[in-house]
Amino acid sequence: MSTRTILQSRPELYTGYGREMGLFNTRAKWIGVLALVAVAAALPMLVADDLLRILGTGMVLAIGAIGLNLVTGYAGQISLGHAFFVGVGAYASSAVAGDPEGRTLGFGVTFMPAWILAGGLAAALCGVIVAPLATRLRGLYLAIVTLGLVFIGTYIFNAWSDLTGGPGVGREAARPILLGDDLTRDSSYTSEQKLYWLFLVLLLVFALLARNLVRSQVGRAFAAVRDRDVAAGVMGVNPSRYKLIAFTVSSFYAGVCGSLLYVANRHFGAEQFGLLLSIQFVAMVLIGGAATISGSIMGAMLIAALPRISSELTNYATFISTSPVEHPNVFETEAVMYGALIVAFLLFEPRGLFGLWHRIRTYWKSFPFSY
Amino acid sequence: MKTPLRRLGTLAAFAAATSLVLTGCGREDEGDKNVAGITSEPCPDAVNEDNGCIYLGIITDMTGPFSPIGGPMVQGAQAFWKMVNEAGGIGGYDVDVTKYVKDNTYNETTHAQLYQEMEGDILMLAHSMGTAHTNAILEDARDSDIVVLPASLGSNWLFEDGVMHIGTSYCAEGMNMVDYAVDTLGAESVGVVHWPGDYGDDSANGAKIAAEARGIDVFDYTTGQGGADAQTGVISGILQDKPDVVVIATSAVEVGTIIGMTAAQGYQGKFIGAIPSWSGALLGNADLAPALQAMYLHASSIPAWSADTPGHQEMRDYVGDIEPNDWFAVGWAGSHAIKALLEQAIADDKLNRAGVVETLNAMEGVDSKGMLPDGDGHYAGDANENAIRSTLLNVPDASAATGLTQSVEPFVGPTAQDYEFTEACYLMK
Repeated sequence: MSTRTILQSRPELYTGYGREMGLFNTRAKWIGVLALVAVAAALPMLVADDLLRILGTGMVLAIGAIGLNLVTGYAGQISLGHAFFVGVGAYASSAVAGDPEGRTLGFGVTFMPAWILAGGLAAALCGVIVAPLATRLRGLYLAIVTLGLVFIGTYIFNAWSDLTGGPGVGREAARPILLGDDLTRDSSYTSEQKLYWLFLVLLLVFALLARNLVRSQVGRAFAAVRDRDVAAGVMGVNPSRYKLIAFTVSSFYAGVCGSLLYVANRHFGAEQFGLLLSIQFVAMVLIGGAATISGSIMGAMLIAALPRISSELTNYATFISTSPVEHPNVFETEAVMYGALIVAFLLFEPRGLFGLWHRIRTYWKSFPFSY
Repeated sequence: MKTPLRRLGTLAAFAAATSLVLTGCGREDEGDKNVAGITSEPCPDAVNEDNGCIYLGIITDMTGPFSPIGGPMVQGAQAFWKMVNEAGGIGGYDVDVTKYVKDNTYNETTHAQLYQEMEGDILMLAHSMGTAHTNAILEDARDSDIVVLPASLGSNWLFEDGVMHIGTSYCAEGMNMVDYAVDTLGAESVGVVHWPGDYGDDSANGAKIAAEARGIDVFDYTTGQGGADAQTGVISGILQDKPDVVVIATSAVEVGTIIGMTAAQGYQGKFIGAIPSWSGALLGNADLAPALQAMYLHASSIPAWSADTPGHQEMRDYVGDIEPNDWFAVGWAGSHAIKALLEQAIADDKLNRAGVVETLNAMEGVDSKGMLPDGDGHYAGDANENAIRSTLLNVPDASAATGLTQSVEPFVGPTAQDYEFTEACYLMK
């Protein structure tokens, strides 16, 4: 065995800058990701459809959470307006794919990549428009301004009934048709299985793209802007340019998430894109871990599973009722859990689920001298 | 050393290999959709342990604006099927309406989500609260051969296959309300307060069609959900325009607010509310009760709890000493139609989803023991001819068991009588 091979197999020892910055910079990561993808791909054969539905939703939310993490975690621009961009993506994609003869606006383009891209691009365009605000504001002020976006969006979504169906009516989501097969219909595989695989592939693609972005020059510029934008400017990083890129890419991810979020549900209303959805995305990022792609995915999965977790809690905490008219009930428990998880993670593990995973990894890496 | 590109290539090859393996092995077929919702095993907590079980789904509003309607309607349906099961069930099956009961909070997105969750487990959807909400799932239900009974009276149901609609549509009811206002109350102008959306628009457009046919002035007040803060525009509009009669198609929350506040500011016209606009709880407000009794009429097509019909008598005898509720009676009445459908499907040896749809399309009536309007339950043939057009009126009455007393026998106004239904009224702009 050559010295080079021995050195390469040592953890945390990189023999070149390119290797350190590699997509999978250790063999363990490479094998781990492969194993994870294999397990994820095989899951639909092993898990019931109701769980697949939750996991599928989690994966779509993860695409949106990665988007928010890019702008907030990596580039340091606090955005509470993510729900607005998700809404823009949802409506743009459903309009592009919608029935031209239907009640709401539709252009009849049923080719799936076209309407997913349309959702992403429409949201990205809105991101471009909003980004200049971020060059003049930062911190809490930017948070408040982006919060305003949610309210403006809610008004537009409610008022523009030709597009959205109007309040209390809603519209059809885009139909995912792949090679002539409607993925929302059961065939050899159930719709949950097919949609799960679709979402898994898309999540892998978008997660890899995001991971590549953040380990590139753009990613390093994001970090420089996040840590101190004045200093970044002194170093030759143009904060306005990178804030624009961050908002645009983040909005694109939100738009893609929106285009897929109601595909399984097949119908959605304007009230979905309110403050609660924005808070949920913030929770995904905080709970998963800011400035990590894997953390965004973990956070999204946890938030998507919260309703199920709270309903499972009733088996152990019998005082929690499943009836919505009794108190305390599972819905209240779920709401409390959002808040409790955010507070608990910020207090005890600010790096989120990724931080927990990092601790476990470090523990075993240094075993048996872990202390 | 592998380049990132080669590694991605490996990953892609790995994913492709995985997908090839997966295409070779599907999950075990978990059952034919045609027998979904029917088991040979007894129902949970079965009355008859030897019977199989037919599962009916219910998606209603238990915590939203129509929770005073949804909860009692479901209880009525559950009591009805308990009675049927105690009498031996139907065709060797008990009917379960308790396992798949979900709360849509009157949100159409939630409604669609809940439907997707129960779709594989039910024979039919025995209660689907909300017009837009039911529209959101209808195409999927039809694709899965699931018959839906909407807890909604949109005129669109006349034209939709696979829908078991009962009662007079909001649209025809709106026409009758205006005809009554003109013919009996002498109205020369009418205000139409309604939510935006399929329910409110259906009722409002029916009222406008009648107002136009009768040549009277009409004022439109579109309003949102909520109490005083959300109703200021409507209240000031009514006070300014002073229509002789106001037709109102909202929930009871808005009815209480609008009548209370307009009455307090001197308005003296009458209000006629669509069927979902009433809740007995309104009379519990001592400040509001006098105004309601003086100004409000409640339109309906299904007789109230205390009606003198064999069906209502049977219901009252069976449930005994419970708190009377008009919506409980509606839930019970609708279950008569489902029972007739299932019994016919069993008699025709078509007890599966597709068979139930086929049976529904051939139905020409229901024996509801007088609980449903005459001619209801007719789904074969022409939609316009099948449309129920009668409306009865109730008045608030604190001395009545449920707070309502019938004041006007079922009637069909001249507009609804002659009207030809060709499309859903709410689609008319």
